[in-house]
Amino acid sequence: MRVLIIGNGAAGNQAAACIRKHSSECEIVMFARESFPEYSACALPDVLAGWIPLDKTFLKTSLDYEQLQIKTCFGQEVNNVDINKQCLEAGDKKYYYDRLIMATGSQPIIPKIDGSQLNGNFVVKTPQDIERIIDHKPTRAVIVGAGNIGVETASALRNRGCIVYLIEMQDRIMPLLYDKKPADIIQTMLEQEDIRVFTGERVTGVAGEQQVERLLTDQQEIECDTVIWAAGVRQNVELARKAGLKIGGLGGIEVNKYMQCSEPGVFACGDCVQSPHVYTGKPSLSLLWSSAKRQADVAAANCMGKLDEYEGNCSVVIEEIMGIPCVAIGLNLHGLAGYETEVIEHESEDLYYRLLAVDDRVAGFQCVGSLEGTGSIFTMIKKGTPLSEARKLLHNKGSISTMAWYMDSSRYIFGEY
Amino acid sequence: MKRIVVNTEACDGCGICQLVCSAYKAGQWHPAFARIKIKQLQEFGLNVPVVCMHCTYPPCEIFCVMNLIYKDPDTAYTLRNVERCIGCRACEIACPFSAAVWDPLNEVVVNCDLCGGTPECVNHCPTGALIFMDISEAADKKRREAAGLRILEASRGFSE
Ligand SMILES: Cc1cc2nc3c(=O)[nH]c(=O)nc-3n(C[C@H](O)[C@H](O)[C@H](O)COP(=O)(O)OP(=O)(O)OC[C@H]3O[C@@H](n4cnc5c(N)ncnc54)[C@H](O)[C@@H]3O)c2cc1C
Ligand code: SF4
Ligand code: SF4
Repeated sequence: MRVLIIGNGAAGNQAAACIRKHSSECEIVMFARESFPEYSACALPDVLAGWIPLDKTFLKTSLDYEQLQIKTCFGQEVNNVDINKQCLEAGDKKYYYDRLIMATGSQPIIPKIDGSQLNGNFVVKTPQDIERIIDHKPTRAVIVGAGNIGVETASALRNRGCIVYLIEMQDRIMPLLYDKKPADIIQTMLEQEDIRVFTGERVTGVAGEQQVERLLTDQQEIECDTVIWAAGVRQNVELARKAGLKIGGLGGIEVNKYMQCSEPGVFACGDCVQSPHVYTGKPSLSLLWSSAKRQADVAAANCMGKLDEYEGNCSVVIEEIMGIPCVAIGLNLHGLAGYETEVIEHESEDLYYRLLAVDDRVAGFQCVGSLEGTGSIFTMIKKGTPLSEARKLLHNKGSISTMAWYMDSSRYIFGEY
Repeated sequence: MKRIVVNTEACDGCGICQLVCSAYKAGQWHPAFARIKIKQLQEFGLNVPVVCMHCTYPPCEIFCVMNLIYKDPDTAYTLRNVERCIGCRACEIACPFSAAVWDPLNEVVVNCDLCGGTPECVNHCPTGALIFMDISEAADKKRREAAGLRILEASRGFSE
């Protein structure tokens, strides 16, 4: 059996490791555009901040691939997949497969607007991006897009001593993760770090002669030498599209719960797919490390003829701002639009949280100030535990004593401090 | 497969397990550095120790952004190459049992490693609330009842 994997990211590598667990004989060949080994993008902001060295982001050495008996064709773009002939083309060679795993990931978007090609425009995706930014010696930086990557990048550059602006088009930062109230609390924390945050502003262009000199929005001009684009990603699905695989409405490769694509013998996982949300069951993009790994496990198992099903996407994003943990789990009100949502909320000096419930089920949770009990809340969201059942459990000596860890989530479930 | 099994009615909350853990694992003498935590159920007058259950498919492993958590191929313990940890705390949220714990000294997240097979907390527990026993025995309802044990659910691998 020969499995070809396109992609050397979280998804591709997890799939390879999982196949190896199932079989020591299966031939595995991995393709990637880049020629360096696996790294963790999640650690890049820490490098930019100067907290960890760049080499710490690498998760594998070439020896690790050898030990796992993964043949690597790195630095090679896959140009074509022929699903009928079960083969792909990379360089000028053809490679035949029994199973194919697409783990082609995603790419940050740099919009085609005036000045976005000037020297001084960057994205944060690879270790090289970080090197380029550091070599550029930024002093005044604008980060466009205040998702979690934008926020982490802003904090990181601030830590390097830059003057930092963070621009968000929506009315709040991290709009897909938090509702307005907690987002505003986090924004205030960022402002206390001296990051200048502007929401509800649209970036219209970048100005400069040879270099970035100013960033233009629909409301102001900001003097800067660095612009970092963190305003969304595009899934790498061109190859899949050309091969005739179905692409969904959100721009990701369509897969079923076995991570199987629309054509036989082909599986997909990671940032490049769209898959059902654990709560709504509707197609969603996850774009998270953990989802990429779990999806890869499922793809690999099914590829080897072992049954495994993907539970669905459920996002968990955590930030630490000035040492204060902020966490968003599941859906926010934006994600729950159209559902009648109950909000259990609490605010005190050092803790804010809100728990969102629909039809007696916990659907989302946002908290600033503590991580206590978040593990059991996350488990409830994943399992769809009814809120009423959780409350009963917490009042019943017999049950709670055998599930004592739920105690930490008690305050959220009852809305107490 | 031997695991720490918790007899939930026996613990009197003395906290010795935490101190012993902090001493052996962090060189400290304070519950904040322990990998075993005691949940106080004040309403019911109960104290219940909670510790890593070495899940068969550990959510912490999936969530680790540095891929440093792994199942030991021989013992099936959930272990960490903690020197590569960046302290992002993703695994902490992923753990259903609050058993992936923040180590404030090294700013990393750690879990119980069963002291390599001779858990010191169990050795020092004066009330018998912590038992190091075969998981299949803990999962066996009849034997459990015969022994008069009410066991923390996770420590019998959720099987009933
Ligand atoms: C700065 C940053 C911070 C992040 N922080 C977090 C975080 O804290 N928590 C979290 O959960 N997630 C985080 N993420 C998201 C997480 O990193 C991604 O979800 C994850 O890396 C996706 O992995 P992947 O394998 O699907 O895709 P990718 O890592 O994008 O890998 C895609 C692979 O496919 C290859 N490829 C694509 N097309 C071709 C082709 N035609 N031919 C050959 N090779 C091809 C590429 O070369 C690459 O190797 C962060 C991302 C970034 C950028
Ligand atoms: S730390 Fe938590 S999730 Fe990880 S193996 Fe232990 S109990 Fe399971
Ligand atoms: S805190 Fe450390 S062990 Fe936990 S997910 Fe982050 S890097 Fe992995």
